[in-house]
Amino acid sequence: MHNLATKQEAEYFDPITVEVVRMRLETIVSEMGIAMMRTAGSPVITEAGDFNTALFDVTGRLCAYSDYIQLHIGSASVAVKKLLEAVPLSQMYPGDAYISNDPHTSGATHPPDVTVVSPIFYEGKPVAFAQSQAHLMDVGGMGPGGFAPAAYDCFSEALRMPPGVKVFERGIPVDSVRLMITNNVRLPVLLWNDIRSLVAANNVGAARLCATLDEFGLNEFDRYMQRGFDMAEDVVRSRIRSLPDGVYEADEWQEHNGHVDDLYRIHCAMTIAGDRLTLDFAGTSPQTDGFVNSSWGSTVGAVATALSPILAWDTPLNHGVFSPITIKAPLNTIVNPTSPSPISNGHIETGMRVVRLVVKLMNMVLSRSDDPVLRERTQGIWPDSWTGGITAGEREKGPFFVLFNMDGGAHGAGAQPRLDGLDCSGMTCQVSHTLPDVEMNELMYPVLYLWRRLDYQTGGPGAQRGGLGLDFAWTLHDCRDAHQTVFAPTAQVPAEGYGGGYPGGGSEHQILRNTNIMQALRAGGISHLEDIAFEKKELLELSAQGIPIRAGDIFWQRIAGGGGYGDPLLRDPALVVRDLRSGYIAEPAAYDVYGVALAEGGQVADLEATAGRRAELRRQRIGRPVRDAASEVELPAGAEPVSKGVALRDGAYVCLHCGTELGVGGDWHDHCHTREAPASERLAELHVRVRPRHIEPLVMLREDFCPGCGTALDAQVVVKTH
Amino acid sequence: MSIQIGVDVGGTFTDAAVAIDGEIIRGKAYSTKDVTSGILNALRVVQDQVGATDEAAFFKDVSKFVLGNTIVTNAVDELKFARVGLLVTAGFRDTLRIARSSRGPSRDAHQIRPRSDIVDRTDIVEIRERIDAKGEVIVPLDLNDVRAKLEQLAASGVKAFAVCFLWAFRNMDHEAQVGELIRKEFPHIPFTLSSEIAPVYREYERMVTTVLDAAVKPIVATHFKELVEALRNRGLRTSVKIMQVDGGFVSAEEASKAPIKMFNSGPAGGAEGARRLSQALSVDRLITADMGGTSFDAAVILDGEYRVLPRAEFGEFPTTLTAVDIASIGAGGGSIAWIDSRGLMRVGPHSAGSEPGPACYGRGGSRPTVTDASVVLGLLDPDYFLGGAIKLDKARAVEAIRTTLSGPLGLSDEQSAAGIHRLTVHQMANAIRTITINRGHDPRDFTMVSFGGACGLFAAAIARECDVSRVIVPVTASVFSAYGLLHSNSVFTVVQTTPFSFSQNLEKLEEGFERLEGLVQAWFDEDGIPTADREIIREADMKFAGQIFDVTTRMPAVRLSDDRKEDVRKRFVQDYEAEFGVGTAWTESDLLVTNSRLKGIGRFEIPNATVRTGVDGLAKTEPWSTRRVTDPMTGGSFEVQVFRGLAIDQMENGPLIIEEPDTTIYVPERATVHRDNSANYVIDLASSSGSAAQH
Repeated sequence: MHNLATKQEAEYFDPITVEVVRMRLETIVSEMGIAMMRTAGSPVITEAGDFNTALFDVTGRLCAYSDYIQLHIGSASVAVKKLLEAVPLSQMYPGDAYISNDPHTSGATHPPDVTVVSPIFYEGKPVAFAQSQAHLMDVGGMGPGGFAPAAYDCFSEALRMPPGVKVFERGIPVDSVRLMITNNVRLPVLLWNDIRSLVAANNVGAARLCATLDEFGLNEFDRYMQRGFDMAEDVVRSRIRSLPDGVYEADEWQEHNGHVDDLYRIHCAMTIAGDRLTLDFAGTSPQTDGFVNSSWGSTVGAVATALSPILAWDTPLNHGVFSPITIKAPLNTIVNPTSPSPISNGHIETGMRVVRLVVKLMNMVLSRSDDPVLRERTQGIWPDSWTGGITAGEREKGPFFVLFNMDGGAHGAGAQPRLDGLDCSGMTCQVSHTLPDVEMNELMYPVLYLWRRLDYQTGGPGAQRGGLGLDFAWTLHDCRDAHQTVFAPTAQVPAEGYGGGYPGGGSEHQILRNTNIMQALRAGGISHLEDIAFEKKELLELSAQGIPIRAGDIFWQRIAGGGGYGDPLLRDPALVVRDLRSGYIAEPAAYDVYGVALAEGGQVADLEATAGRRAELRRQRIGRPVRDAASEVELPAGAEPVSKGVALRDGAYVCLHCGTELGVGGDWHDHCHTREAPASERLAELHVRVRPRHIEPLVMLREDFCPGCGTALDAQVVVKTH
Repeated sequence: MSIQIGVDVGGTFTDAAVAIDGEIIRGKAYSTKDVTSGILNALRVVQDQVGATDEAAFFKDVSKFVLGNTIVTNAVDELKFARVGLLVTAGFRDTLRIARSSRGPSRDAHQIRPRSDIVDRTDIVEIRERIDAKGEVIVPLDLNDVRAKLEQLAASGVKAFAVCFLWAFRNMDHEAQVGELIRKEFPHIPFTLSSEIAPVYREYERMVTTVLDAAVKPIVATHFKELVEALRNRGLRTSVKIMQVDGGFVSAEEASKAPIKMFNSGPAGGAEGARRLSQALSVDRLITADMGGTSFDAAVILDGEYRVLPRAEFGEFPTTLTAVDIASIGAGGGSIAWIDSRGLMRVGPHSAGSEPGPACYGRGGSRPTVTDASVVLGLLDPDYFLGGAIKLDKARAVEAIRTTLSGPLGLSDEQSAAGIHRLTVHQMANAIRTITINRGHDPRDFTMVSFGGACGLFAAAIARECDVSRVIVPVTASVFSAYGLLHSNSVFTVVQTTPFSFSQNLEKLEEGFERLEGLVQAWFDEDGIPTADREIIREADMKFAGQIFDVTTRMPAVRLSDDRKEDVRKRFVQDYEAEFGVGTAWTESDLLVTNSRLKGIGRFEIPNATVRTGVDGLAKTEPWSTRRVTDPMTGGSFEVQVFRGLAIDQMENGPLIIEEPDTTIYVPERATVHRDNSANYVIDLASSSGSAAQH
């Protein structure tokens, strides 16, 4: 491979070398990540893997990206481009490192996500950028940990570092910048150490890239890297081409802005035209004065997070993957806000809602693809939101602490075509996600966990079940009082299922005031809430800050679950029995929701009784006798796929489970037997917990059943004003 | 006679390295289902070589017998072990399922699966009890509750109990009481307490370790009882020792008490062999490269010692155990090459294994593998694979590569095969980077040791990729793990989480060490290790306040008093910066100790052993034949000399091939090979400046 320099005249690319260059680039960004993990202090980095490392070329094109937070593909790209606008390349030198965190000007996802970009020089010329970004524990502002539900503008949220702030100059820390930063944060030593580890990661990237250029030669390396972009782009373009052209529209809803419990619309029209895909967010709510606005970097990252596993699950992540995709968003909306709108939670609220919205749009179009592989990329929606709990205070005898509880990432995943959603998966973007141990949190912070378990009320029912979220409670231990910040972005508008699968449960926080918890424990323990006496139970607002918590109170957090895939009546009865025996579903759900009757003392399913029960449930759904329904359905010859279980044959929609002709023309949903009810009420019947919403707009669940066999073909969450 | 024996029982072969009056003899036989016959057969080969006809006399003279085996490794990898009843603190029944999120590094939603269940959820019971982070009892234990639940589990048919309560390592009382109850009332059911097997913090790893240990106990108990009996009946007097994951052996009885520590004992033997080799050759820094059919393992020897890593991963599970630091990737002779969505070639991670195996095995495999590529390139002689034991079918190899790769890629069959080889080399070089560069070492300072059947074809190319200039293929390469086992020492490790801050008096840390030292001394006495052969190593896992991960550092071998504080701090900063780079230490922060660890070593080394090279009477320096090969890294095609039967006895220039019954070595262009005093092959590669212009 080393003789390539002599073959430059040729257009020839050795296919093996293309792959060798790809592997080398990925090794470099992964080694940057390892350097960061091994030197960093924040558990947010080392435990939750909340960071990214990447290489960009000198024009800001993404060359390689590590297996950590996918959302930062957006913020990192914007950070590099904005740096290039702020500082000309000619004024950069080896050993320089630039720091930024301002979402409005540098593309950051939110202020605690601090980015360091270092130019890489080879033979005296700038040839690339190493970029590292991590969630640092505190960046100042009104809320410890950098989250400020009470903020009305970005100035109160954090120290704001725009593009172009040089934090290392020719390898030496810039002291004036260091003093300025550390004077504005709550944990200055930890923050500066973490910044060091970002610089260390970039240094590793620079050294390894230069060694690679020694080996291949700069020109040949560039040529092969460009070839790598082109090949990834070709794959994505060919997959888009296999999707039917058209415009597809959908909505998602951001809940609560930190001040008021409004729903904010996120609208997107997705256009598939040949091998191009365009997302246009016109029609989205204007920016709001609460902390939920999603920066442009975060919106771009959300689109990348949603699309790359669907269209590019098996290609390298580089510039080429995103070339066929265009994103348009009007300025001053919650998906492309400007100063002074507050923004400190925008990425995991509105930003993650964008992921949900794009996955929903992709489900619509993938299900119509004539490529069966792409039809299998449909999925139950993930809750895609991070349920926050941040506790700050002083120990009885000891220092100030900030418990930024990484348990908050433990939502369940959306169900997949062949697999249940993963329990406690973390958000779609959280590749390599890790939760803390109970002992880790108890060692570092003055809390005593009462329980930490899977929440059986959260998995969206389906033939493949949605993943379960976490349910935990703690009481202060060795601490008299503290202040609590919370946010529960998925509470009233749950993550939808797909193809007849139902939505998953929502998140919530409660505080039980003035309990007898320590006495109850000493008297022999508790394992359920019923064992505890308390003065009152407070269901907290979706987002709130500065809530006092005192010794004797119990803080209780439950986290959302993923949407299901396919009608729950089509679930393998053996899996339902396993779920029941393991406590992964509510006791009555096996019979009520999945229609499974038990035999042999609950050890196995009674298949005959189950078939009867399922027919009965299908009959109840449509109020008339039903045909038999098959679970695995093949697309008949000459039919076009429309959705899971629905096809278009000879101009008419048909149910593939029983062959019933649904009707001709229009939207196939309109030919179904439809039922609509408030989502929280209907899902409560299915033993899934969603927070009731009593003010307009209301959140409804619309179920569409085949009028012939009663199989659930869709179950959509619809937001309505009467 | 004075006889010492190292035996490594692998999946396919059982290898023996036996020292008889200081001369080492090798033996190899197929592994057998009952294990014992395979061991006896391999030893028979050795006995035949020295003309020992009286088996009982042979066994009588054995003073050391160390065994490496895959029984625990296989049980964990295949999840085939006993049904366990698990007792946990009330409120925390889902810890194994939550698994601290088993998301993993894939962004493909179809690849996201939970870790396998090692205990059925219905066999996990909650016990009302609770201890806090300081070790204080918050909820007292109710033994009646425990008894009722144990009875339920026993009645439902569990074969072992595991007990893992929160903070049990800070206060062992509750677990100890449960243990006592089981011993008294369920004497036939083996059990494991987390505070005994893994007294360190982080309940997820601790619970995994405890459950896996309990789950393999019933298997191991019967297995070793039979094995020891069979050997005893043949006349063996010395006790059988078993290799452990951290690189030392213990007696079979001791091993059965914590059998999970036998995981990976074979590869640990390989690291031990490399340690021995580094002493014998006086080379401080070695990289081991071991390639088999399905995996490639790499480890580092630094200052004559291998590294051990805390929180080792066993299969898909993280554990609390300390293990020899071996980087392992799924790339071996059976790895399959395929075309991805971009139209480019990839190799692995899928493997054809041994069934159906590579296409050239002719057992129904049709997908091209790394071994097929070696055949097509002419690197392997189809008639001399494993000394001719298996005939390879070159036509099938060509066909598999042509259909799957050459056509779609527009390459010749040789080019495709070279591509497979190059991508494999690249992956292996990356594995070596993981354990050198990522740990702060420069691979250019190292010598590579290549062993394992398939490694000799790749070693020189991997070394070039990593800028390593010398490769040694030891004369014992084919039984290298057994060779390591033969030379290994007895090691007993005790560890305890002992939170300590450097703002406290160092005497407090000393107290913890002294308690552990008591345990180690008791073990020395019990195992009858002579005072002169005893050694104790003190280690501490330390970190700067605010960090999560700790770095293991060796403590001075003296009593810690407060005036040594600065000395200990400096030592740690040195170790830390050696790993992460100068200036990276958090010098402003307090220094914390999380775990104290004590390693008791009983020296069992065999001084001045020489290796019998055997196979006399063959012509020297005469190539056995020539054949045409395609060099995979350069694409050059030429006629090379093939040497067989230890025929090299002077410096030879590459390219050439050396064929031994159990391994083939390829020495490329601009490299030389010679044999050192101990008959090891030494391959020297031209400097890297040369290599840049090479192709």
